[in-house]
Amino acid sequence: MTLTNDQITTLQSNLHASIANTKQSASQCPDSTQTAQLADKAEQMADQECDLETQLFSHQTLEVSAAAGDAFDGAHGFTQQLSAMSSSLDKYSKIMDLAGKVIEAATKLLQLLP
Amino acid sequence: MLAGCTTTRVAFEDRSKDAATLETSMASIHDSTVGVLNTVNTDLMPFRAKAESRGETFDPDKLYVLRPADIAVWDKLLKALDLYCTGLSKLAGNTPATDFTTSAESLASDIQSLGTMEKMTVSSTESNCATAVIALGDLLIRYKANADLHQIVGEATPHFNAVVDGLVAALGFAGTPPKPQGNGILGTYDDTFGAYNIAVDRQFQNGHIAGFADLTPAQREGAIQEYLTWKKAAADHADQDTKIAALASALVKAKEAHAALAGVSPQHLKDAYSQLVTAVKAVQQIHQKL
Repeated sequence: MTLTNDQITTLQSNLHASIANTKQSASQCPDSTQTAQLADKAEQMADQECDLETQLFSHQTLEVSAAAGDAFDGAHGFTQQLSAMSSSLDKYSKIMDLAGKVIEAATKLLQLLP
Repeated sequence: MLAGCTTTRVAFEDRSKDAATLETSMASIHDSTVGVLNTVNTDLMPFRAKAESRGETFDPDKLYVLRPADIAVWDKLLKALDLYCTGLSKLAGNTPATDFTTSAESLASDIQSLGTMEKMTVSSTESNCATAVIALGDLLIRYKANADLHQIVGEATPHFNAVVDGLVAALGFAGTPPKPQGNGILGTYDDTFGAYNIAVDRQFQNGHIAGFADLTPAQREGAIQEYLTWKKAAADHADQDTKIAALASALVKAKEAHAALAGVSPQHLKDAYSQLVTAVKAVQQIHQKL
């Protein structure tokens, strides 16, 4: 059975509360044998929480990876925009080159004038 | 006319600084995240080893709470955000247009290599570098870049937020400012450490060593060494807790700062970046401490 992320986090929160209660009981327990039993119980609950976390983290990774697929598409659009800007820069440079040649030619003409 | 030009140039410089701040912050957040996730695994491994010893079969993968393959995916996702923020910074940057063209190609190449890893292809920018660019051309390009920045950031915001929100939730936080929820990575990290230290916590309750007077000098020395080891482990654990919380906070601030680039009031933008810088500095300070 596959649990949803919400179900996993609810289970984790319940384990979190149970571990906190067990720790509290253990800190007040006068008997060392009972304390050891409580510690063992808390450890087993922590083990379950870790197993749930492994599942949860994998689900979250998958979900965000899927969302990032769109982001890569966005990056594609982003590079296309950069490419378009580079092209417009080239066009602008060609115009400026041409303008420079006109000015150069005009300057030479001016030098020829009496 | 002159006043208008001055205002525009100031706006370019502000936005350029903000984009550069976001770029630096995301690089730092990326490094910290991978460090935090790996440290959680390393710190919990002894407890996972004990958990495995309870069963009759051994599965080495179960020694990791967070699968290394999942951490590798987050590493790539955050690298993508890094590259994206680098691109924004270059777009808004006060660099000569020839440099901009070169960096645009470099960015396209970086994103293409990342896309290949994710089984996606991104076409590279054609190599058509401009050779002669005068100051007016430079300004024209920067004006266009600044105008495009709003659109790019606006379109990228949902994707950017999906990654950041996903990571904040995975860390076990929700809300603004982010608060621990008692689950996720932080909840599991704390609960496991607490549960596996019940016996030793009791042994050293209130900073004392239980039954110290009844021990031989050699046993006392051994108990003191254990006490010091326990104190260091508790301090390291607390530092990691602080780092996880600082990281969650920095992620939320990065999200706000990124959204602010799309264009809201200058004061809001200034505040968002000031908070981001503070949050990232906090993460870096803890990182240095560790």
